[in-house]
Parts: sequence; structure tokens; C-alpha cells
Amino acid sequence: MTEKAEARHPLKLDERVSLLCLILNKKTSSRVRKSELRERTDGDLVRAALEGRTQDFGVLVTRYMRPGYLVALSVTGNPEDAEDVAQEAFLVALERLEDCRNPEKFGGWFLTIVRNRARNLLRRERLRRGEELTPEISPGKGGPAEDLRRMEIREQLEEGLKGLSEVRREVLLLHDLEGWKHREIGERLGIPDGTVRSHLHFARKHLRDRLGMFHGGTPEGEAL
Amino acid sequence: MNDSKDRMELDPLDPGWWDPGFWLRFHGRVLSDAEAELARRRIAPDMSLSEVVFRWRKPLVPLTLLAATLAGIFVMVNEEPGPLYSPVALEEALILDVEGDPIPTVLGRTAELDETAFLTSAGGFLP
Repeated sequence: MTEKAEARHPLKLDERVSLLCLILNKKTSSRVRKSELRERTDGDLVRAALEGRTQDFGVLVTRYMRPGYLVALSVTGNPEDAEDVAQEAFLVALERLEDCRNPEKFGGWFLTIVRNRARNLLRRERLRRGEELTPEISPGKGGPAEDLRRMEIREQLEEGLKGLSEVRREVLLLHDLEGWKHREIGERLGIPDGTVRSHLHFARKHLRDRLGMFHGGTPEGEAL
Repeated sequence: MNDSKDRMELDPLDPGWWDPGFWLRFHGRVLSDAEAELARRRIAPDMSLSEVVFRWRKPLVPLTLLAATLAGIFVMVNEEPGPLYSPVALEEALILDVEGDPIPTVLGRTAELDETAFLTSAGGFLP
């Protein structure tokens, strides 16, 4: 690790490795680190971040960057906008951290910031072009044909999601992509568990129907 | 309903699926952007009042000078031609625009005239 790279990323090397493991490989050697990260409550991390502790704020970012992105994506429907919104929302949250009256519920509070900012972005119909962080699509093992197929799948998913309400998109993405449980989603979105289950059920049904249509099958076909 | 079994394969919507380094870069960007605010928070609780004032001293002095200069210019530009009244003495103010003999004059006469003459001159007695 060069000094330049260290300067670019405020976390130490071992912290970055554990972060990388946590992000990329949910089932391997990161389990110990992951459990360490999970042991600290949001409240602990928020209180530490209030004192300016970079590492603890970094854990909060690790914990909520994907959910934040997914909620933003649910609202904007655009990956680039979702990325911008999620990134800015972390800074806004840090600046207003004193307003988070219940630090243990940081997740719900943060996702509200994300949602509001995403809605504002939509309202203004403003597309910001910042420094490129957009995914650089790595060549797949199957070559260009496989890449094209993957791109098509993504476009179909994005198209299918457009037919859902905002809250159903959020529930679906947070459950099936982020792996949150009904209770976690309910707490952070401020809706009952039963409603989460209902939204999830209808969102999946709708999306499967849509994808079945894309693939030329029956509306009830299992596309994926 | 078994939600785990029914889980949909939505990975293509995850930017990390396309670009394995995406989330690490995202994380780095957020922390990099947040560093100034985090540094402020690290410093803020330890600063005494005098330190806060001292930190503000450098930008505050030129700003104050600039504000004073601007205020001076503003006053000079908007200066009125002067007051419409001129100062008068109290005695003069008492007799200004008063018709007839002023009271001091009447009072001055009473020393020489009797009471009837005084009241007549003041207009309050008709014999």
C-alpha cells in the first residue's frame, strides 16, 4: 500500500481489508470482522462519530451505503443519481448528526434523508455529473455476449421496478438484495412487519410477471 | 410464505456486481469528503472560548474593516443636506408665531400699571 493510496483512504490497511471482505464476500473469512462490526450498535457509532472519530463513522458508512444506495435507486430509478444521492446523504447526515434524536435508530433517520434528497433531485429534474464513480463493467467470463446478456437483465429489472410503488421497490431491494429481515425493514421504513410482507409479496409478483413478459413467457413465469 | 426461498435474483442492480471495486471506492469517497467535518468535530469540543475567538481573529479583523469602510461610504453617499430647522433659544421659542404681545412684555408692563390695566391688556377683563 503506497502512501498516496493511504492518503486517499482514511482507513488503515487492515480496516480496509476487513471492509473489502465484508463488502465482497459475505460468507468467508470476514465472519469474525463482520461480527465485530455488527456488535457495535448504531447508537455507539453515532456517538463516536459526533466526536469526529473517522473509523466509527466509516463503520456507519459500511453498514448503510448499500441500503442508502438502494433506497435512492428506488426513488430515482437511475443508478448514477442513486449513487450521488447516497454519497451526499452521508455528508448531510454527518453535518446534522445532532438532529438524530435517537442514535439507535440512525438507520431509519438516514434512509429518510436519502429518500428526501432523492425526491428533491427528481423534483428538480437535475442530473449532476460529478467525478466518475459509475461502475466500470468488468469483462465477464463469458465474453461480450455474456456482458450483453447481463446488461439486458439489468435493464429489464430496472424497467420492471418502474411499475412498482416507491415503498414496494424499497422493500423488495432491501429484502432480496440487501438481505434485511422484515423486522429490520419495518423499523427503518417505519411500517409494520405485516405491511412489509405484503409489499414484498406484491412486488415480487409484479416483477416476475414483468420479467416473464420480457422473456416471452406467461405472465406468471419464473423469469429469474 | 417462505421469503428466503422466493428471494429474487436482483444482483444486476448492485453496482458492486458489475464492478467489484465500486463499494470500496464509494466508501473512500464518502470518508474523504467527510474528513473536514470529522476534523471539525474532533477539534470543537476541546476549544475554549478564547481559542474560538483567536481562530476568528484573522478573518474577523479585515472583515470588520471592510464593513466599517462600506458603512462610511454608505453614510457619505446618503448624507442629507442638513437639518431644516435652526437652533433657537428657549425664550425665543416661547414667542415664536405668537400673535399679540408676548407674555414677558405684558408682565413687564404690570410693574407700571394697575391690575385693571393688566387684565385689559391681556384681553380678559372688560369694564
